[in-house]
Amino acid sequence: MKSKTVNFELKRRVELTPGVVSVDLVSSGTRRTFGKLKIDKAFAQQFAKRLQKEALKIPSY
Amino acid sequence: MFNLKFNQLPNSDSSLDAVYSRLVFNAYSMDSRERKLKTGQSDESDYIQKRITNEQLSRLSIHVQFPERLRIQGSPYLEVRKMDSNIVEADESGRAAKNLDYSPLLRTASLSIPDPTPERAYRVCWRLGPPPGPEPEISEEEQDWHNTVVSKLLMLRKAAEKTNPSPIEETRKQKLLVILADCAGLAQKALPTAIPPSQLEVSLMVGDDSETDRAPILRVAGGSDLSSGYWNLELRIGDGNAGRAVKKRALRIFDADKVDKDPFKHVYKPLPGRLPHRWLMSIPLFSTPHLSLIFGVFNIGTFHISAVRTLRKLETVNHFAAQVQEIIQKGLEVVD
Repeated sequence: MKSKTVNFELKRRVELTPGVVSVDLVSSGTRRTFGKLKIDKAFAQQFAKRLQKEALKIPSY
Repeated sequence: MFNLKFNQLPNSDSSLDAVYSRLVFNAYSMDSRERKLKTGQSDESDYIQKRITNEQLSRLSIHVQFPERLRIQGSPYLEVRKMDSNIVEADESGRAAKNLDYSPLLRTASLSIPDPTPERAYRVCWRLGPPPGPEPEISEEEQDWHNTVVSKLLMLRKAAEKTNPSPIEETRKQKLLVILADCAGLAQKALPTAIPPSQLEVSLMVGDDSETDRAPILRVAGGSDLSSGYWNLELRIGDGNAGRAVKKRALRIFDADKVDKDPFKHVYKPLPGRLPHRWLMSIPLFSTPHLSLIFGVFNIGTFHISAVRTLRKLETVNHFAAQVQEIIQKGLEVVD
């Protein structure tokens, strides 16, 4: 599959109130992150195990 | 289907009035863009109609109050259609049209027809205008990016259904799993108290607009609690919390405790055989800087009352939606 990547700079304004979010995405040649991503890796690992189990429920062919 | 029960049956000597009201979600579109999203058709007209079948009516009255935000173009008009052929009866429509009044100031259309003809559908129609403001132009590059991401998610969905996936497909599945787990980890890190992994539900939906002759629909690409009902779900744009997030191009929160107070703000589509969410946040995932294209929705929520108070804190976490988008976007870029 031919893939073309466009990076977005997530910047400036994110209003997160119930029911409303506004994200300013500005097309950019280079990626910048919006704040530092803080991920609870231990929780993510535990959760990944659960997702693995849940995937077995998917109707398969 | 509903039943009206009378203590004493009405007859021609002693008639009774009956009134019922019905709340309908996602039935009408506010503008032509929304209608196209929901139906996949460029037809810009919408309508409300009453079919007259086995009823004897001395007068048919239809009163339509258009919301302030509905982008009506021109004046409403009337169509009378034959029930069996669904063909517009031009002569009848013309004759009945004088019974339709429209007040642009009050934004109301009123139809009052004496002795309406049986076996006809009386339809008050209106044309929808485009949404306010200039419609952003989607560049070729943006459309390519969007199409690629949608294809990737549909490919991941297919791979998830295979009992014997190839090593490449297995790697892809693992990548999606890491994306979703990271989003869950992001939420946990932002929350002040720990939430048991068994009480958190996440899913990633793809906005499948690959078939041009049908309306786009949301399909599940991965997540937790993947019962067959949920996996096979085809959610129309505007339906349920996730569908509304796409329609409104905004994050939506469903809170079961707040439904009674504000049912239109907390719309939820329960699935047969699946626990209903107590709280659910649906985040639209944008393909373009001007938010006109959406490739999917990330859902995070819980079925457990005990987890609701903790998860509600996500409503006030700064940048959560933007960071979820970043994790998913970055994660999908390495899926080949």
